[in-house]
Amino acid sequence: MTWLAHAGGTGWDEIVAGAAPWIVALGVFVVGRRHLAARSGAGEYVARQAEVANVCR
Amino acid sequence: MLDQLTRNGITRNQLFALASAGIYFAAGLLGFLVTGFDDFAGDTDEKLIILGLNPLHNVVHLALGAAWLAAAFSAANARLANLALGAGLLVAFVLGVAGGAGFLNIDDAAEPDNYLHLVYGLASVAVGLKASEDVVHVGRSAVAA
Repeated sequence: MTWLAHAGGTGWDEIVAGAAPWIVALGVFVVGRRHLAARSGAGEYVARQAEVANVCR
Repeated sequence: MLDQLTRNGITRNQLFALASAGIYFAAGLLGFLVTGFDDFAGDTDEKLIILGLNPLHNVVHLALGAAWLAAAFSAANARLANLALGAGLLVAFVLGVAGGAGFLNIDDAAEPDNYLHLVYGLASVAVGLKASEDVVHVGRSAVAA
């Protein structure tokens, strides 16, 4: 990883620092996707329950 | 490609993602005209106007542009990308101010690039949180329908 090292840096600390913003970004994106999926899943469940209730009626 | 994107209209989040893709692609390409490919992660004197750069910084800008462009094709992904990449830019601001981004040629808190990261990160998160999901640009097929 010497290509990433610059004066005063060891390389690894820079790799961790460089990755940090994009690990946070990926985390926000993945958690957001799961949140949206869970929300739409819940919506589908409610719609299915209403459909079943209509059939039974 | 743009036609495919705008066929059914786009939301404010998609518009922001598309504009951000253009801005960051331009920054990456213009940055390479300034820095070339030498001294990849080096502490150089090279600047785009007042913003310190090196080739690694340009690669990060191009990657951000690609991520924003990929996300712009769906309203949900565009909103998440605005939140996620905005959060990433805010972390980059904190790192830059703390002196932990020398590998991007951001040496300390006095670098103007830090405050561009702060402003763009806040704007991006604000759009992701606050912008409505209404369609703001009506595409041709939406008009025809």
